[in-house]
Amino acid sequence: MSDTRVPAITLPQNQETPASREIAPGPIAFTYVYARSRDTRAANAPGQDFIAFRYDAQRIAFAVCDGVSQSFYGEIAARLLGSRLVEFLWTDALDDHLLDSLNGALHHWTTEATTAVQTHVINPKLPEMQRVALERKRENGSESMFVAGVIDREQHQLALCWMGDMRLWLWDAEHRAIDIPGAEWQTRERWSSRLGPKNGSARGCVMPLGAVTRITAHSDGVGHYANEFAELSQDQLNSMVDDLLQGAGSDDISVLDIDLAFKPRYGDLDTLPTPTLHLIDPREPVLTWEAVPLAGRYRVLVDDGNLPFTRDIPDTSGTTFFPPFDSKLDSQTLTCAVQALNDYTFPSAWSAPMTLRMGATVEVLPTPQMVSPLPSAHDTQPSALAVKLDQSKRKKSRTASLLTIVLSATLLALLIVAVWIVVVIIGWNDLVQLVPNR
Amino acid sequence: MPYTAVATSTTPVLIIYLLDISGSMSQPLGDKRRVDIVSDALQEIALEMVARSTKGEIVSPRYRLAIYAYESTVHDVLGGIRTIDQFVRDGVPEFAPRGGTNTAAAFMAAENLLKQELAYMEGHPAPLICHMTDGEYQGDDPTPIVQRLMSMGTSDGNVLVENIFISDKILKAPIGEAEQWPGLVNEGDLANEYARTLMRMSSPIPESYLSEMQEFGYQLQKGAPMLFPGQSRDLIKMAFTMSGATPVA
Repeated sequence: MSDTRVPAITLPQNQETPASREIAPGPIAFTYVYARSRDTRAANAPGQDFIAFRYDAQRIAFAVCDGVSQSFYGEIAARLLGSRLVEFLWTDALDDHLLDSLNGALHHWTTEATTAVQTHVINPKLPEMQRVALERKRENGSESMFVAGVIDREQHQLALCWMGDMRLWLWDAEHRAIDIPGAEWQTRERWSSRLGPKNGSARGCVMPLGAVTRITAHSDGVGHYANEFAELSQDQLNSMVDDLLQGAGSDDISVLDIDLAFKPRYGDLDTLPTPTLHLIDPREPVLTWEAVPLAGRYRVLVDDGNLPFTRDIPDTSGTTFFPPFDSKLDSQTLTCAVQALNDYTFPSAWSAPMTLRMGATVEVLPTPQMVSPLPSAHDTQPSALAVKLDQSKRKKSRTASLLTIVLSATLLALLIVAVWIVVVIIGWNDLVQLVPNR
Repeated sequence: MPYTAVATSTTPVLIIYLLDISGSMSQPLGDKRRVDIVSDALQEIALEMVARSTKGEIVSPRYRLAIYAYESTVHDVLGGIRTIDQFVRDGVPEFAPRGGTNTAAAFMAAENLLKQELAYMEGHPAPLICHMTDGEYQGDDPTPIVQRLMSMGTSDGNVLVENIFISDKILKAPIGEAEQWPGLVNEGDLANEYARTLMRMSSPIPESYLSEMQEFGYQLQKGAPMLFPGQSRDLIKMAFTMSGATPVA
């Protein structure tokens, strides 16, 4: 049973995420990139793609969404849908009923999504014709396509689901594409905040993991570069983004690659130490933590009790974070936690969470009110893989002690040999003469 | 395949409106003046273009518009070409009907504009000229000019010419629901010689445009020309919808 306290990782829609890697027990590697279109960046507006994933030793759930630009603020549908899909896939059983359950859920989420659409405030400074056009769009709601899936590592099962013309790829160990049963990518099919599944039902399949060693999910913004995803590297993704940004049809780009057979290049994988979260001044809602050696970035979790999200902060940007309290609310409670990451080791465990209530001042609640302490993806909960890792660590410790003993013994032996050589060279008699007469 | 280039901010489509504002356009069609119904339809399609160009709150310049209102003389209403994001700020202009119907001069203005612009439109969707009139031309015959226009174009295809004829005498049989109308396929369905002339001055509807129109709920069939009888507000609205049916990104 997957731990519901394990948070989902989400990429922000209002900024770029350069190609990044994250390693999980297995080892498994998540490689991802997020980039807004040229026009969107120029306007400093949010992108309409969305990436979310969640993992622990037992399960991996993921979703990549592409908001429909001609719907009402497609980014609203993309984010809400992606977050709910990962929640749903994290806990639902991988069986023949999954698709029916999913289609039911896709209908159910329209209530929340409709509220989000109805309450979204259109910028009053926009020209009237544009505001009228947007209000007309609001009547039809916000829409998004999606590709999503869940891997049950214990059962060796894989479930995939999708609507629209985004893409999912399954690869074997020789980088060959594996057919996805029932794969049809229809542009007209999408999820609507008003209707739920639109122009069709969600498609999907449940299958054994079998020969699958990699899964790649991406939006159509990658264009012809999809042909190169059989073998995928971080650098490749960054140069792809740079090139596509110059093109005529620059679109939002989102790619999530899950390598289930990741081979570390530099030997055994360490785990980064866990940072500790602090609130220095209760008059100011600024969270800080001490720097972690070798951390390339820090991930902050913000849970408002509705749509939790994470933010990655490069280590070069420091070790502070301003929780995004909504100034329109009189009082708001956010639970935050932080972990350290880099591209080549296991991330740290999550810090002990801190729950802040923002009113006239910031109040730190004495105990976490909203969520239990957040374990990392790879400790605290008994799991075969976590135990195996622990045993492996103990074994390494015993090996180190033995090595020390052997080295010491070898040095001693060498010392004895050296003394014997000296004796031979100088000569025994000379040595005796050095000894005073009795 | 022609007429499949998608309108983007770097390859926008050029739409040229030629609007007859002769004196007869002040006559009523139903409960409104013809010119007011045309203004309403233009407003509707402008809103649709804005919607198709908007991602979030960003209006991408996927459409470039020119509007020539003509009577005895031709008036460049927008003062040149405006991108849709510029048009959004300025709004739809108002028209005051007067004068005659110098259709040839209007098409000549479109030809001169395209001669200047086409050199910079390689890779762009084929331009579209949307001509709206309520009566036969006066003065020179516009047919040779239209034939020249229909031989110009981009790599995506030749210039598309659409005609909207506001008249209740264009068809032998009335049209029911605009959404169900398959379009004009047979010249014999036309009751009026000038309507037949306009039909020969109208491009066939490209398949990509037919698909877009289906998204709007219209059932025009393959092979139908871009000629629309403006007998009612709904049909005029459909006709202007066609003018904005270039596929977009």
